[in-house]
Amino acid sequence: MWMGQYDLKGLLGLFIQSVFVQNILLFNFLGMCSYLACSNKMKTANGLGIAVTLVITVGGVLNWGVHNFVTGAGALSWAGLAGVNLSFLELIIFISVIAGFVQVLEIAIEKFSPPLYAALGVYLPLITVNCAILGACLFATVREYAFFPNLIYLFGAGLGWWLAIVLMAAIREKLAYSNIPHGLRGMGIAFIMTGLIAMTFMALTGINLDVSGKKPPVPMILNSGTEQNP
Amino acid sequence: MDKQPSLKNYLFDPLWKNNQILVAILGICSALAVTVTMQVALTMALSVTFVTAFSSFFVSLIRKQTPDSVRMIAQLAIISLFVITVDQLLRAYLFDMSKTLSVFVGLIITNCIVMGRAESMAKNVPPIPAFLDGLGAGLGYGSILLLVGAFREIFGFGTFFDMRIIPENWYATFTHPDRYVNIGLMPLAPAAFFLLGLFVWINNLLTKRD
Amino acid sequence: MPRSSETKHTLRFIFILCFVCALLLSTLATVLRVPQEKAKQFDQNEQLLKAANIQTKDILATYAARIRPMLVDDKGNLVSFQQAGLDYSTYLQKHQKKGFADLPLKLIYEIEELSSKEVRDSPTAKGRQVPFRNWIDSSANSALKDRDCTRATVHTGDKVDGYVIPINGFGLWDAIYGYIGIKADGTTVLGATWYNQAETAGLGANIALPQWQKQFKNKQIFQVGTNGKTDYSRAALGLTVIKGRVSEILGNSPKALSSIDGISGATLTGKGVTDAYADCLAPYRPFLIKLGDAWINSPH
Repeated sequence: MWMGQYDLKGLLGLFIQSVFVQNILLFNFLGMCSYLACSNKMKTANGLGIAVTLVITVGGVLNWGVHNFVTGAGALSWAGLAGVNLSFLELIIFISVIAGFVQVLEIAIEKFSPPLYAALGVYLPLITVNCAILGACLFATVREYAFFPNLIYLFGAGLGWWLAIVLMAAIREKLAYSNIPHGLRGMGIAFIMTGLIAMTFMALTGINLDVSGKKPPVPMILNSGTEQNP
Repeated sequence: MDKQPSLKNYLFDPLWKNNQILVAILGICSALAVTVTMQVALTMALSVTFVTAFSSFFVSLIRKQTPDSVRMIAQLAIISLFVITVDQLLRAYLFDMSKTLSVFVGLIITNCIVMGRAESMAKNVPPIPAFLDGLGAGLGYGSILLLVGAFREIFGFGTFFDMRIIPENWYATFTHPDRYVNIGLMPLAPAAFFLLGLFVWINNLLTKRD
Repeated sequence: MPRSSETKHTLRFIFILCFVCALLLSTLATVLRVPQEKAKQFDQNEQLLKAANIQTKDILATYAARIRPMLVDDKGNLVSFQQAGLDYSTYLQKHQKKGFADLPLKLIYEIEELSSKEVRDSPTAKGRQVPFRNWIDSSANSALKDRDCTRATVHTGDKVDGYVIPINGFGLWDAIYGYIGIKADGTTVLGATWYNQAETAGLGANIALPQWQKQFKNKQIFQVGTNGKTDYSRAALGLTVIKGRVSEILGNSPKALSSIDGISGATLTGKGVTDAYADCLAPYRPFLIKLGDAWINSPH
């Protein structure tokens, strides 16, 4: 339950995989809406990235708890209700947990750091409906990670999203000085540019650092004089 | 006092003039992953239209009773209700499609279009106009999805709704390597970005002319 | 006081909303539970029957009549679920994700021959369309009612068309699951399917398409030797997805019988498929050797 099949090297591989190779924005294309609306400036992109990373990590961990102890198959066995299957409530509980956490976070930030609240404040409620957060939770559920791999995956997903949005904000700031055809300015060129960046990240396809998921090679039963597969 | 916009306006405004994808730039997330083939795009379009229309209707229905502090969570709950309905129905009757769509059906909850319509329209107008507005937004989103899906499927696979469009004997083979080949980029996501960028451009050019 | 009544109102609202949502969803889930189970079962059965190369209009009935889940132990003996004291559905649910090949008792499906009596007497054979329930109940097929999933004894090669082995592995992005159907001779492939994969659409995902899967028919999982004979105890076991087309690269060499055309742009998925076959078939080798010996020694 805690480490699953992963060792420390596997966790590192998983981390690199979720930040770069399977970047949640550039490979799974989740979290696009807020990126397109808010990536005009580096400052807002940074603020948003930090907030999203925090919400994905903590919200995702809470949802891992929900999935493993409330809504997964056979999850209620600790309460003696092993036969009850509440998986149809999963989506609504996930989104409620995320919304609840964002609300609590907003109150906490307002209390403990008013300047941070002033900088971030308006984006926090929007984070609730960020596809990336719910998406990361759902992917983690499907892959059935143990606790620490789940944490690493979520943290990596958040960092990856932050990386992607910062990349695009940086380019868009430069694009403001470029000579773009009138109809393409703004959203049009943002889309095309994102497509190009996505192609770049596709170069990382096939790098599989998530080595703990694979089975060790099965030894041949008879080993003398056995031909090897080509 | 302003004349109330006619019911027809509610339906047609978000369909083209205020098309959610091309003008409001919302709902992009799912538009990229599910437009690989027409069948998937159609299923997604219908699901989103259903969810948007009915959730707008119900949000509008209880708009007078909803306390302001829990407004967003109430909207989310109603939207989730319909999304889960779609998900469960797909799993029961269209199992293959539900396997292909997997987590993207659940992500309709966070689809900015649904939330956007609820937040901007549904809580301010009566139920029937809200329903039509949601319907129009969903259909506008769906038509763009189908358009992108059509391009990607025809040029990426040579089929349309799994029916072969580009004849088999046009394709390059070992003996005739110079013949037609599918555009390999089309099944991959960057193609969806490029196509959307082009459509936004075309839309901007067309609406400037109006 | 207005403040607390506002709070009360909010709480009441939330409570009612939660209750209504929960009620509606629970009702929906309960109503749809049976169709969902059937859909999942149907899909898996359909894939299994495709791998067994059985064409039929009535998937659930044919599955119930002709497919028998069994277990294979490390020495290659067939054991029924009843003999092993295991329950099929619990076993399946527990091990499906990680695969069966590493277990001491591995899952295998026996394909029973379409018995001539069933063909003669089945209502559909007589040209009538009969609903599934009636077909099972009709007296001509009363034997089906007495059957349960667990036979006490079994004889290898006795009225069995072949076997289906569940295969799992890792493609480019995620785990892949499929079936491979093997004839009763232990080496000829009846068909292969991949029913659960998350590979790149248009590239790796093509392993789930019938066009790619149809070339598996009549391939040999045991590498045929250069003299044209198959040495079950020494030959390499598995199918290899090569780069390019088998007909162009391997021509008529014996290797071609164990090779599959690659999908261009999906080399890593192809490698995953090759590894999956190698890893999952190896533990069944003693059983397949026994099949091969029985086939050679029996009249056919």
